[in-house]
Amino acid sequence: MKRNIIMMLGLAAFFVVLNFSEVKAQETLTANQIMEHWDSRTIPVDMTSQMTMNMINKKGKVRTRLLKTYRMGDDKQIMWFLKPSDVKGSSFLRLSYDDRDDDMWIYLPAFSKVRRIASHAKKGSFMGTDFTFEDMGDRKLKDFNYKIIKEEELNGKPCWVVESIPDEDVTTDYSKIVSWIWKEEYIDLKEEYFDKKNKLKKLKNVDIISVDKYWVPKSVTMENLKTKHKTEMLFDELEVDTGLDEKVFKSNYMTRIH
Amino acid sequence: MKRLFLLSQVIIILIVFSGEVDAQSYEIRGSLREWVKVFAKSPNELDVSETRLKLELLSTVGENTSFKVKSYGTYGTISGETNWNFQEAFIDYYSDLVDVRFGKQVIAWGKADELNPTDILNPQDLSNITEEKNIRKIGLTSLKTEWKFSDYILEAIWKIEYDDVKLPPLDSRWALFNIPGLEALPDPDYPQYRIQDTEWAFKLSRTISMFDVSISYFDGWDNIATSIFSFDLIAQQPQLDKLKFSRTKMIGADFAGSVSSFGLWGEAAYFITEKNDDPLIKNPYLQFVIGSDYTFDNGIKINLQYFQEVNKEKSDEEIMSKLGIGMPLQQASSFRLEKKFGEIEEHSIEIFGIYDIKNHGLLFQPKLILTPEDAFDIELGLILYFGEEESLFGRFEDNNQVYLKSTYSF
Repeated sequence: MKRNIIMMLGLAAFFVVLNFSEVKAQETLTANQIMEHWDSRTIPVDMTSQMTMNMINKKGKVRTRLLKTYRMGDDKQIMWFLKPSDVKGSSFLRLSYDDRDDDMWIYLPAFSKVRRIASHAKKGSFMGTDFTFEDMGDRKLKDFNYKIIKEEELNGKPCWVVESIPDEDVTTDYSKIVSWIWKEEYIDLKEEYFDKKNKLKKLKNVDIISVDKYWVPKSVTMENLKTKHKTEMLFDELEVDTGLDEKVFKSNYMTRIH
Repeated sequence: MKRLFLLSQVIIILIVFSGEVDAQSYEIRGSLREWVKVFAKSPNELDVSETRLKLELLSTVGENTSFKVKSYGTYGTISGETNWNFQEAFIDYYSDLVDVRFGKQVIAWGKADELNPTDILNPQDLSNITEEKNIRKIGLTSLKTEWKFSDYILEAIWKIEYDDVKLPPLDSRWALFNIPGLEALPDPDYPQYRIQDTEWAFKLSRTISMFDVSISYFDGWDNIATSIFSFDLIAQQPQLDKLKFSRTKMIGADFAGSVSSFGLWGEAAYFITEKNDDPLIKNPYLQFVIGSDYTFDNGIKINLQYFQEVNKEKSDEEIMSKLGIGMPLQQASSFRLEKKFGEIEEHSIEIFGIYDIKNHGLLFQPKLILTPEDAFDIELGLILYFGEEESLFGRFEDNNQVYLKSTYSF
């Protein structure tokens, strides 16, 4: 009996030490290590959803876009506009790479042509929203220098607040991005975007939900603090790991009828 | 040829409606457009006053099949006439290896802006040359297949139906050329309805690094007929005998991508017309366009292009090209300035122009597009022509116009 108690105490002590060392390890992570975890966090192999984009002006007037979206990891994304009627049939395709800028194409039915989006145009608004094409893309880990500013709770979730400053040769609309990274899952829950004059320009808030074994965004809101305009992206009919085929992420798929 | 066309349309309808009803989903969408265009020199004179209804019927049948019908109904206030035009009516079938589109369709080729030497698969209706290019295009019954292998896409097209460019009447103020003593062109001799007279085209595309590139080939007919003259001994002057189409091959290539902060694209087409002694047929000739665009920090987007046609013989420069960009230009540059504004960039101001370098003419089109509500826009614009009389745009110097267009989409 005594031996059992000693064993249990020993085990308990072991787990306490293990847990403590994990916490210790988390606490001693560098900004780069945190962002490496953020970059390689567990995400769905693929994800499909219906996305509602609400564009809200400072007077509260709302314009709505409805889209169907498919994603494969962080690297491939295709979306079709379903509403309103004047943009219906338009589509957007993004392919990301580790070693170079994203490829992006847009299809506008009026022109019957798939057009590549040139890299300089990525600072432009994505279909009139507060997101730019750059915001819709995949941020390259190597393009930024990172620093932990502080640690704080955000909506009850402990976070690292990490500052990302782009390398000089990186084409970006921002001088700095500050991210709130949830310590448990390495997910960014909030981001502040600073313009070239280092003034806070936009604010992004992410609301997450658990789907199967993953944490995925339920809504993403981007607010332009200068114009007081904001865009909400609300995700419905979320499905993960559906076995989506890679062929979906080809430019010829953009022109299909949905 | 017409029988083939009708047969293909019937096959499309039968295939579509023979599918399981439960698996089908239908949608009707379209737009209503009001357009009034007046001449600046005589504001009481209307050039265009029309109501245009665009109707599209779309349906998906299961996961691999869909169909689309796109039609335009136009009521012209001036003529009091109404006409319906089916621009597209096709069925799509998708598979892992190949996507098939069969039916009346518009196929857009080329990566340049507005001036596309390789975009020759559908002739244009130029009876209203200020109409939008996508509406000007005449849909034709074709079988288009897209084969996917590795990083390549191979388009193979069989054009079953043929039609030619509809030119403005010779006696209209929009005539692109004049033939002395002739008020209207006779009907041309169209290619015969035989398999060997149908047209073929191929395009191989892929992405290489930051560039989309493609090479293309076309074997078909000129889009504009050549005038065949004989000498009238009694009148002692040349007389137009007939209009005849020539068989032409095209070898094309295009690319689009980014270099540093600039978008960059190019498009070229080399045309070889069948051996012919007719002095009004140029052979061979090359058309190319290179262009670049840039977006400034303030959101202004600028797009510049340079176009040139190269002829084997200097004298061929005076002969109108029967394929290619669809405008009788030898050397030109185009520009487009665009600035979006409004809370969600819903409004825009745009200036588009083409400068005829060789003959010193200019087309200048500023416009303002306001979108007060989703799916509703109002466009106010000017279409101005400048230049010497022998230049394409100088011909229309008295045709400067102001227009108002509003479109509601549903």
